[in-house]
Amino acid sequence: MKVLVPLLALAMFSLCTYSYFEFEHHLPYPTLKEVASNYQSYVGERVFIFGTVAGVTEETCVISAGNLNFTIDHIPTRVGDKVEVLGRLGENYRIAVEKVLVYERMSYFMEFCRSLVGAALLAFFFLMYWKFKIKKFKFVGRK
Amino acid sequence: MDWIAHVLTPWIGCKLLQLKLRKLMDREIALVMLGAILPDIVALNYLLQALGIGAERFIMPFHTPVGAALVAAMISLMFPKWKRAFFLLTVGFATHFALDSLLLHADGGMALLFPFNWRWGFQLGLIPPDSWIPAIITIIIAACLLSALTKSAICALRIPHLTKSRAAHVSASFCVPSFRKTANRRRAPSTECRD
Repeated sequence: MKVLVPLLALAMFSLCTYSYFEFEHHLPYPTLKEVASNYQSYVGERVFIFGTVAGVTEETCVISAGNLNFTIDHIPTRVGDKVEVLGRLGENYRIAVEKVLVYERMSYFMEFCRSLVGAALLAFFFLMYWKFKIKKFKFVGRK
Repeated sequence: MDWIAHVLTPWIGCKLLQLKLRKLMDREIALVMLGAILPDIVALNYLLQALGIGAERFIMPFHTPVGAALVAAMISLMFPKWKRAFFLLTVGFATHFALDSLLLHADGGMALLFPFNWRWGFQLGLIPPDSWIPAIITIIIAACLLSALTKSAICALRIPHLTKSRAAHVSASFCVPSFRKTANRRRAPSTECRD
């Protein structure tokens, strides 16, 4: 049994390392880093960005993702909201939007708050039936 | 999807299953619930991002079935019956992926076949990730179920012809352990709950 723990940990570490080195090669769209390093070669290609709304005018919205600012046509959103944008990259960091999903700032924050409540619920329920024995490094059921 | 929905969904499922499967104990349900949030270890990435560390690429495998299974295997070794614990944690993280498959994204999604295939997707696109709906639905169902179980546990204690073991089982299906202690006590018959 004691052999299993390092083996499993090694397997997990290998999986994470594999993901770290291969992640970008398997993404369907160019990364922000790639776009920033060679912008012109990606003009006309589909991109997917996740960023924060940095500015809104009557005609456009500015989306900040990484160190880049992209412009899209106006959508009903506010500064600080998070957005997922799928679209075609044009000149001057303009994206012709094909699909967009907006997370309102408060709504995004509330998701974390709800998750904290869920975590507390789980901790309460779990610790009601299990306790951790540090010496044995095992959980034992409460009687 | 938030953790309220992730934690309560397996609780609801297990509690309903418990009515049929007497062997399923509350402490085992707690393990299923724990398993249900295992893939969201990736949420650590938010914390790391706040510290200026970009670990998304490294941490991604935790939100895949293979990665979650490895984590479940490691955690299960910390429990007395590790095979049973692993099974319960696996059921838990399966519910996680089932719920996450309902989510809506502009594109992409989960890489369920990682590391064998890097296909991103597997989303039905029904619910926005920040939606309150799953949490509200699960809270309502859980509250109704808890109320029904509480009522049946109280009734079980009052019905005279109920055997000791049956009474203990019904009261054990209610989540508060103190009820178990009182379950074995025979109470005077009451006409209120016989219907």
